[in-house]
Amino acid sequence: MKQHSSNTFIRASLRVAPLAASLLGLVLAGAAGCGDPDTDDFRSMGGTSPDPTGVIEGTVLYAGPRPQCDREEGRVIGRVVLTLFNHANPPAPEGGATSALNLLTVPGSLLFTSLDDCMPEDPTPEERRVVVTRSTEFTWPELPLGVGGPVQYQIRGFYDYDEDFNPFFSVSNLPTAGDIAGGAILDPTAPITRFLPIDFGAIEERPDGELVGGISVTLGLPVSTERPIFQIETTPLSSEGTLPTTTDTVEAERQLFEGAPTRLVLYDRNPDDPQTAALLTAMGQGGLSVDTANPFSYAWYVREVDANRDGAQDPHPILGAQGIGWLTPIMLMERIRSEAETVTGVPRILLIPSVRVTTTLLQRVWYPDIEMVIPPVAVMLTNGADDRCQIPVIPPGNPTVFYESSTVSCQELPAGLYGINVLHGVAGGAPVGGGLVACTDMGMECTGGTTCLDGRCQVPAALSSTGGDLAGGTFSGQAWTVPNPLGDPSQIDDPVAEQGNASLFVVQDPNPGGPVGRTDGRSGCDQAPDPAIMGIRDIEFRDFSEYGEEAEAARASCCGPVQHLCGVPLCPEASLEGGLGIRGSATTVTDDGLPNCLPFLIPAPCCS
Amino acid sequence: MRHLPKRRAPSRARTTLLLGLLFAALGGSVAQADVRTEARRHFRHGMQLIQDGSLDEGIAELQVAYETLPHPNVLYNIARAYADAQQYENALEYFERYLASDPPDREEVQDIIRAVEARVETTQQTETPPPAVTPEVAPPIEALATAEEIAALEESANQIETLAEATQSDSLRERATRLREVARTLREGGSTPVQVTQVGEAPPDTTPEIGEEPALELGAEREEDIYEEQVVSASRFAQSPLDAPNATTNITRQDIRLSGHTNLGELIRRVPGADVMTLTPADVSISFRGFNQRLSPRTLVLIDGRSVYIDPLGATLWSILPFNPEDVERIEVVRGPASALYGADAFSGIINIITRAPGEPRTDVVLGGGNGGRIHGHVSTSGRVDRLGYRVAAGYNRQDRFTREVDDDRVDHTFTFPRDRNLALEGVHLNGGLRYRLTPEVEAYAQAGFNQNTQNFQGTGPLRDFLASGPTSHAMAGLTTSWGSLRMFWNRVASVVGLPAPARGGDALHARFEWNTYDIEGELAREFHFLVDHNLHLGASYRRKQIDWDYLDQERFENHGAVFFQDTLSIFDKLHIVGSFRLDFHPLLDGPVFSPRGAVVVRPTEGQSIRASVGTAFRTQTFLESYINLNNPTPLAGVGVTALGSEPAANLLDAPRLKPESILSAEFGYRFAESEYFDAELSAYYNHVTDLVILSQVSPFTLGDFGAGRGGYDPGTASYDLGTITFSNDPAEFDVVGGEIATRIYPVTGLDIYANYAFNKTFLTNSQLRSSEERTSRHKFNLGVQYRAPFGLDIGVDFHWAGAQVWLEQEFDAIEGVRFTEFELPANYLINARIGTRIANDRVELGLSVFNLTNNKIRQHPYAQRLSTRVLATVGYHFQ
Repeated sequence: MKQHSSNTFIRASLRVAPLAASLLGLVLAGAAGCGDPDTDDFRSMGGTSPDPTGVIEGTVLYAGPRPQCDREEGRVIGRVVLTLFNHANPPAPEGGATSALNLLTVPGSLLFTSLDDCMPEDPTPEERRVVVTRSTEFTWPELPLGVGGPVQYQIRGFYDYDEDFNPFFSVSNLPTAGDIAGGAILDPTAPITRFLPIDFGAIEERPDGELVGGISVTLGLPVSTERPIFQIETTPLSSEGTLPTTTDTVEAERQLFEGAPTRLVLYDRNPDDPQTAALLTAMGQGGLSVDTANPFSYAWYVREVDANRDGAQDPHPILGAQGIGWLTPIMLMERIRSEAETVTGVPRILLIPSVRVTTTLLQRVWYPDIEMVIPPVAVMLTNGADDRCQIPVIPPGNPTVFYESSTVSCQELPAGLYGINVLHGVAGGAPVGGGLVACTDMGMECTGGTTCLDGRCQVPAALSSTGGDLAGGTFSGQAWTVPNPLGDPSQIDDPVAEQGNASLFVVQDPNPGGPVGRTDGRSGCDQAPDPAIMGIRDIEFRDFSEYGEEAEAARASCCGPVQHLCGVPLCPEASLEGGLGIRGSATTVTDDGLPNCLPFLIPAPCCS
Repeated sequence: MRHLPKRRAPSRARTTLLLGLLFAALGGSVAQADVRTEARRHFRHGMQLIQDGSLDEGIAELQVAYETLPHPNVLYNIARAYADAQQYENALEYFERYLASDPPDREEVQDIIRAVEARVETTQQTETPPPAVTPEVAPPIEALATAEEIAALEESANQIETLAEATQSDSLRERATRLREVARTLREGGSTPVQVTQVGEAPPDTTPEIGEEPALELGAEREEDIYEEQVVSASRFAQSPLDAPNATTNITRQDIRLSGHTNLGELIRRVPGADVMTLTPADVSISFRGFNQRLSPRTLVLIDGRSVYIDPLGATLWSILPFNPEDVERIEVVRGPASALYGADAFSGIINIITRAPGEPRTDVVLGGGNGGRIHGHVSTSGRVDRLGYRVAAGYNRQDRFTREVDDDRVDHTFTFPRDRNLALEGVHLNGGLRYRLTPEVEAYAQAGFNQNTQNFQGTGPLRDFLASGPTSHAMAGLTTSWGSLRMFWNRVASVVGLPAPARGGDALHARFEWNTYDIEGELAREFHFLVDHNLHLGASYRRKQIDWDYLDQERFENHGAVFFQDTLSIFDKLHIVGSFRLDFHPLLDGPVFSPRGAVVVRPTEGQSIRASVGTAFRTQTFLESYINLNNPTPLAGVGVTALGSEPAANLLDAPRLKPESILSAEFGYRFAESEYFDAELSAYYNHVTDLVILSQVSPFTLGDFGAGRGGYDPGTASYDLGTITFSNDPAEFDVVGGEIATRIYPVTGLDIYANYAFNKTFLTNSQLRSSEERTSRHKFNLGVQYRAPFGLDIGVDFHWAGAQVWLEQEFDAIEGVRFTEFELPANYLINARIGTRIANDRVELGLSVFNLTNNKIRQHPYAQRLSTRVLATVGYHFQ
């Protein structure tokens, strides 16, 4: 039987061998010629291949105090937090970005690879001041490439020294005192910090993605201040307010202040103060802490704003024409949009208050409160990606110059509730005064402009209400917003009322049912007083003509995102608690994707 | 990559079809038909001829039946017919061949052989010329059987008597009695004619006429329709599909061979009502009558009754099974709920893959290669050493992806995991089985397998393309007796899992996985008569599951138990009432899960049945759904979303615990199998589905959560937790109506056509997540043609069409972390074909199979790879 099988096998093999060899040869030849499988389409095109992205690779250089460590767990405390911003739209004051585009972290254990790097458990002041330098590499993947053209990014970052950072809550998404700030700097040795622009091409031109290597991020500026956890004391602003016409700056500020007297008030240093105790309780529930008792880290520092990094103070965005410079703290207020307004593209409205410093021109450190003036001019952001599209909203009744210097929207200030955002803080500043140094009556021990008071070196009261100051340093951009999760009962068990919706700023409309502005037939938007002729004349609106040959391009850029709203009727009048009149907000979205009504007018040049 | 030109493909398909039809027209009258149908036809005809006394013609028909499709009982019947025809030498040969299959009645047949041998000896003696005689010498007297032979007969009778008492078998008692009578007769030389030859006397007629000799005790004919299609999965015992309480489909060895598929899952596409998605060359997701998904968890897949459901994932990964299609005898598909018999996860159907049994004397070698880096290798040998049947097989498979996820030139992605960036599947496997008959009624078996495999598959939720690499093992041992069965098995899957092309900077999803399951099942099966005929099955099972997986919160163990009961009451052979009931105990559920099923099967004629059934089924949460604690990456490198299983979600977030998915199903069916030219089946069903387990939208952590230590920073992934996605029960209720109509036609010998159509529509209420449930095509149609020419040409063509689908899937999102998006898939078709030829007495087989003949660039899921044509050429040699 075996012999039979073997014979059969041999015979069969002889018969089929040529066939089999041919077949296999054909297949192997075919397989060899087929090469790699096709790559699938990009996901944005319905495929499964990830869309091309950008990658930044580089090094983080840390120069700061040794980190704290959890010795029981053998763990280094802290981590590097890097944030990515569009270089053309960084956060205030340079730009209008309210959040980073992307986020990367590097655990502290990668920077400090040995527990020998740790800060001693009970460090002396000298040990605290020891600066160590460490570096580690980082790779930052999946960054969006440009769409339709190249894009530039910048990196800002810090070392979260006490691990209280969390990007998802406005009360925890920025550095606090003790963190080490920095970024990818164009020239670390330059006196003025400029962030390095990081270039990426357009996605259409980079099908294989793009890698930018060799980026160096330097973290070396200790953050000196806590975030400015304030409560606001104010009164509603009238939507029909006008700017003062006086050329006296002090008088002008007084008039503006009285239009809506506003104070930003820091919480009391005493933890037993009921409001402070409530705040600390709420923060504790959120895993946060703040050192309100430290006179250096918890005060208002008035510094000149140099958003364009030219080494000189910038004029205030609204009041600059009246000779008022821009100072910290920077305050921005944004009208709260309803969901229907947000999804239908109703533009954002900003108010930009100014520090009232003219009453005490020399005082640079304020505690617990600082006064702010709120100019009755708003800014409408019709296209957040284009600086030209920050269109001033100027109520009727102002001089012609206000309407004719640039493209504006002549209408009452959009009434409603406004959220408050205050940017503040100093990084790299050295404490002076504040009683840190004992002195004799002669005050020889006191330096940096401090004087000897009651045996301790202090900054004079005319300059500082705390007796201390921070010498040097740069603006750290620590922000605080109201409302925030500390006032939100859905976020914590014991919310603080003054951090919630109850503290929203109000722009009220004394005549909420009346005409609003230029396209609504509001008197004052056709003619305005012209001091030069000592009379009233027709207003000659610019309507993008200031851009010359690019006027139409500017119009297209600024009007495109809002033109679909032209023709939507204004909302009917409504009222807030307390009977304050406002114009109502959109509440529903129509089948055409439009809001059922508008709370303000779309700029006339976009709807003509 | 060079694909077949799309515009030319349809003409190829037409050509193939036309060729098939042409061969059918020209050679139909002499060709072989579908093997089972053809063998059945010859068997029936042969048995009828034998009953009519045309023994030679009947034997010839049975021999043709056996050649068409071997079955031991045919050998027995041939042997018996030869014995009736007094062709004892031939009878002995066939009885011996029958014995070689190690039948349960081995000893009885050995007795028969001895009796036949005795008859042969007697016959030879009577045929011997008489020697010269001396009248004075007294002639010796010689009996038909020696004393030893008679003693052996009595001993056999005693053994059978013992077995009869043990099994309470009347038929065995009767056989024992008959054997004892034969022995007594032989010993006494009385009533049974005893051949006595005296020297000097005239020898008897050397060619005695039929009937003159004493009748041999040959046992009963094996009259049962051994070629009748049978299923064992619908009721846990062998029965005709006509009697099954569920809709069933058999995929035969011929179907498998002529399909040319090397992926077992792909074979299921032809089943009416099956939803089959080919996601990658290694990943096929299967469901029935709706609710398919990646890592489909609602179909229970068994291999020889052993569950290969991967509990951690809730899925069957077909490519890690250590089997090639060449190892499979048939695949039984039971559509509709089956938890009443199989417990959890037999939600919408079961697939029972029955491998080739040890013992068949056969050795095969198959080698193949094709485009897309395809390599297919198979070698197997099986046979018998005395009572021990064995089978050993090994295989190797390799295949490239249909489409690459990213190009080699991409600088924003890396290729850290596979050494071959094109690889979709590479695996080498080994399996073996032993079967040993301890007594006529008791058989022991053992089976084991191993697979070292790398495979590309789809994840779940927002996770897409994965690669896993590692060994898979199993071992199973059991006993089958006339009283029931006992079985134990162990499954193990160990793997390293990761992304094939992670974004530059690392793979946050790289993980280690090891899963073990230990199972023991016992079943009591008895047939008895109490008022009516009963077929009773009682069983219990215990399963211990262990998983150590980086995605889970910790190493986990679960203990599961179950008891079940089923009785089939047969009334007048026309009416069967089936009642099934099962209790499953799950450690995460408060109480046992009850799964009842009731069915009535009416047989108006022998070849028709009408079926009505109502039953429930359930699916319990997988380990992934129960215990996952994984920080998923998002498009923002420093932001993650934590996927939480129901247990950590309940503990950390006070989330409700998962309930099992449940289905209530009512089904009406009709089956027609009376014609020798076609079968037909009609099913209509209504399913009410609730508590489907879904992934929730992202639930952001609150500031209070952060303060309480929930969320925060994960140093492992260097990311902050935005929130959680958890598994929860969908409040939606799904009412599904549907039906299937299927036929298999054998118009002329050699040609076998199947066609089926399935309708499915889902009505949705209380849904918060989706506006409609349309992931299942409203209409599906399958058509297949098989042709086997007498000169060795085989052609198989399968056409599959599925209507449009709408999928709701999660995507990573830069703002929300994860969000649901609807994807529409257009209607699509798929044509697969194989052409082969058998030469050298069917020992050599050359085959050329094509998957996606028209190079139809379709996706069968929004995240699936775009299909392309795959060609495989094979050369096989069969040693006999």
